[in-house]
Amino acid sequence: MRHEIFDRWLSEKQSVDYVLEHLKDANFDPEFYKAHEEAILNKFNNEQGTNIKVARKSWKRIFA
Amino acid sequence: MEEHIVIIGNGISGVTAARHIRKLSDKRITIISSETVYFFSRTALMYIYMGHMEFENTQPYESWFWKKNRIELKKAFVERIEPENNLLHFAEGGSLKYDKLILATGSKPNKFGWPGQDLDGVMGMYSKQNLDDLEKYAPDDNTCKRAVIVGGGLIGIEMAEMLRSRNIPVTFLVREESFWNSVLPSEESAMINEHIKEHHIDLRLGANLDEIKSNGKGKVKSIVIKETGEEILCDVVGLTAGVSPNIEFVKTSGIQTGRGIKVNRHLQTNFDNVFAIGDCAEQHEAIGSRRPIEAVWYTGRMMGETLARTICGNRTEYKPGHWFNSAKFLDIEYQTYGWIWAIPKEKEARFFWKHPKEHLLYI
Repeated sequence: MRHEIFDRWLSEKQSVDYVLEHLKDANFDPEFYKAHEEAILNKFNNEQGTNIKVARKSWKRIFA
Repeated sequence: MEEHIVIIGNGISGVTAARHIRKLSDKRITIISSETVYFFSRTALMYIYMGHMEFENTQPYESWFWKKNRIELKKAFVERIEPENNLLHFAEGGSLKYDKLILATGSKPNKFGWPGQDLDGVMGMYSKQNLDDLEKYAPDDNTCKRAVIVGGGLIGIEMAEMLRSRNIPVTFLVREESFWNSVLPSEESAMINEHIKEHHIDLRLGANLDEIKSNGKGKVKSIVIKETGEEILCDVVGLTAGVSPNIEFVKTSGIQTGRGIKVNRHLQTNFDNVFAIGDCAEQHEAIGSRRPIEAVWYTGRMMGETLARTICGNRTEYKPGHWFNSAKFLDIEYQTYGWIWAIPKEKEARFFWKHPKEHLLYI
């Protein structure tokens, strides 16, 4: 997981919902590695009754 | 004439301080170490034993780097510090004068007074000397028919991995009911327990070491488990039950110590020109939710960089920011950002996801 992103999210005091929505930004696995964000969000949404959707990874956001 | 900065300890903390002082100034810099001539990556020691690299490969800088950057290296053991006179005295004889002193002496593996803890074949896993000992007493599964590791944490599991790479049977004594459960939430801890057993390590949870028995010739023969009295024959015992600041030689100097060398936010001791960084330093008051002593590679490096600024005239407080760490448990990589307590605090919710088949877990 990308340290700079998590460090920034902690400083910005982002909500859990926000972090989960943008989880793909924090994933630094190389291309073709299995992605698990959908499964993670599924479980969270089921448990919490939320409807957060996985946002596509954004290099623009990552390098903001 | 430029002032003389002397650094005791050539690990990540001392060396980072030295490098940054050189980047910022022309001060005279001497690094003293009793362990090795050149700085090496301690976290890479295990990979030498596992055959992934030679010792020389773990040295981040070529040998000419030090001369090129006018950083003097001295291999010696500092026996005594005389802070009133800015003097160091070496066990080998001789002394050295400093204008500013940085103590970066690191940690030493804990020994809790177990009978037999000083026998041959019993060692921590911290120093180059420990690595050499392991190579001597556990070169293969013929010479070492079984190894027992005492203490379930980051170093213990690394030592287990090292020994398994040479097919040496390992019994792992962990006094907690689940691996590293003082730090890992229960779901993660349980996953690691399983993973350890998958690697054919004989994991004994809830087991304490009672004593280490001798073969009558100064070498370990077996250990005894306290709870059951079970005796386990072994040729090597790894003591990995935590570390403590390596500061014995500082205790009588007048420099204030507790478990570690007491420092303020500027990493300064009770002597204005004496500082301490890395594993050996102890904050008077812990920073945020951190421990007063941080035996972590990352924080040592941060302290070294911060102190260099103060030394070079830009007085800077050590401000570590958000907690983070990383480690590896056999095949499982671990990263953490922010505070995830083993047991959630009041008003904290907990969410975790685990892959149904693989050992992959998010908390």
